[in-house]
Amino acid sequence: MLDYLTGTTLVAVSRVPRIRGRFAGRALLTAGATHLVYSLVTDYELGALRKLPYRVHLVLDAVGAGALALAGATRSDAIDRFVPMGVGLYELGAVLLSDPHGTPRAVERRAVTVERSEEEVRAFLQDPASVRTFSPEGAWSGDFELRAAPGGRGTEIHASASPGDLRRAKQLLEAGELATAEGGAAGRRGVLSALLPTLDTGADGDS
Amino acid sequence: MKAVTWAGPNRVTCEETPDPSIVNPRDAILKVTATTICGSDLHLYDGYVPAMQRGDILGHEFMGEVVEVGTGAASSLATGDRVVVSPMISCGNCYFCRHELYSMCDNGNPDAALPEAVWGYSPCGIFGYSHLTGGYAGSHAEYVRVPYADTGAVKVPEGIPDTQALFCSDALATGYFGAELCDLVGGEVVAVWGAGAVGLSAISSCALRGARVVAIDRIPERLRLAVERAGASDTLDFTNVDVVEALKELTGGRGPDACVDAVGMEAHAPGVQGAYDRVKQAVRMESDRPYVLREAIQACRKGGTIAMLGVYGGFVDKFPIGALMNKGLQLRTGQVHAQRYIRRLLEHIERGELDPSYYATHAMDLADAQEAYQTFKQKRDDCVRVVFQPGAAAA
Repeated sequence: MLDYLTGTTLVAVSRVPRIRGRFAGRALLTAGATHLVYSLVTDYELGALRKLPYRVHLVLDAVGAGALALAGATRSDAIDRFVPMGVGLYELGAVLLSDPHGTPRAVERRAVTVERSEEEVRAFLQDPASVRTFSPEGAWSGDFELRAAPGGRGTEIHASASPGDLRRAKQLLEAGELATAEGGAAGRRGVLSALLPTLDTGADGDS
Repeated sequence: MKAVTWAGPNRVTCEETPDPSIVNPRDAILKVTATTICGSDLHLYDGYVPAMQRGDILGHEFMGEVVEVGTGAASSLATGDRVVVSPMISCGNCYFCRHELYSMCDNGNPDAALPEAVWGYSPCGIFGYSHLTGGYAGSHAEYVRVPYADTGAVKVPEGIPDTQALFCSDALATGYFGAELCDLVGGEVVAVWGAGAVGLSAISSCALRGARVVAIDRIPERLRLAVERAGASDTLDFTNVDVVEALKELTGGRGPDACVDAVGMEAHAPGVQGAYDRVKQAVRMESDRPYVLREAIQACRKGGTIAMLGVYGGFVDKFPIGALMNKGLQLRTGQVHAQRYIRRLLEHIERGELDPSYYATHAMDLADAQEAYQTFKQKRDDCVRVVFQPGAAAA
């Protein structure tokens, strides 16, 4: 996120009237556009193509920031000298403070343990009627692996699935029904309940 | 039907709502004959539990008469049965339920994603206890839907009045659970912080197991009940004495073998420390006031046990991790596994070994809910518990 913000900011600053059209503007525009391009192909949470390793991304950041600062240092005009140098040194500091491992990517494979035999679980997960019930949005890929849980604790389901689908499958297999608060009554809701339920303090127009 | 709903911090209303209905095969519908405001309801009332919505029906400690049963619960319940219900909504089939750890049920909470994000894993569902625990409608109403009724609703034997059976749902079960967490064999000294209904239950349950109990509170009437009704040997008013020093003296310098926190996130404390926690909680820099927990950890003897019964929700400050570790204390916690205890408690009551009926100091109508919550919160008129009897009033 910060990378996109940085790239966009550099491009935006390059269009500021006193900077646009001169060396500082061209340097910032080049740096910002380059930054946006390699961010798009970086292998991290907001990367679009995810081809470039995150560590290489950081090296490019450092090289780009250094080049910007050095380019500024070669100029004599104050704006052309100090704007690229300031931005370059700021970027260099940001790179030095970055975690080279990046943000851990969210797992796409999940697991849940159910107190049922492997045969029961397999039959359940392959039954189209069951699948329609525990995966009502149709996101269940059917890609799963079953393992015996240690200590006689039933069967582990390992699958590329949403937490909700796995939770519902477990409820159906173990309890025989889906847990729901429906059927219980409620009083008059506040306006915020539908939008920000946990922030609905009831202070929205009680009469 | 009439029901008490949350309307914002320190505001509840009694309003007309639709009647509940059977949704799942294992459901039952109860006409609520008795339900009480629990101390943990005050955390919702006071606005310290974040996942509340206006219109949520409060209440989780209750009993009633079965008026409708789903096909999946029909083998264990029938229309007309008089039952007391666990606050914990638990499936009875998962690993935790099969090990009688009902409050940790994997399947009872339909909103599990929220507590999983906050706590790592979700506990069971709970009636009327915010959307962190499922958003289930509570029992401060004329009728309530009971999911997994075949697991959570227990028939009450003839001869046990509502005022005794009601508290087996939660207060008595929680206190009894606390005594069990202390692993008592007889001859221990147990200090219990809080002499409300849960604390009084912990005192009587520890005394039943042969422990000498010290009750700690600031309300004279509650300290009197602790001695005269629950069986405490000694009392301490924490506004008048240094509790840690007093416990040391009472125990011959050893410290209590076990300490029970029956207070939780809204502990009152005198002096600078109390003010510090109040300010931090008020500005949401910590979610809970852990004063009792700090004091219990400080007071407990080396190698002793802390039983946390009071409810905590989030994050606390100045937690004495050094004392906990270097004294080799055991910290044992949890919401009560009420399904494990209700039958056992009814048997204790039948044998005359436990009698929680004196907790019911105030009987009020659902229509007076705001007054009822204020009376309980401010402990007016020596209030220990307010009981609503909507089913009885409607009969």
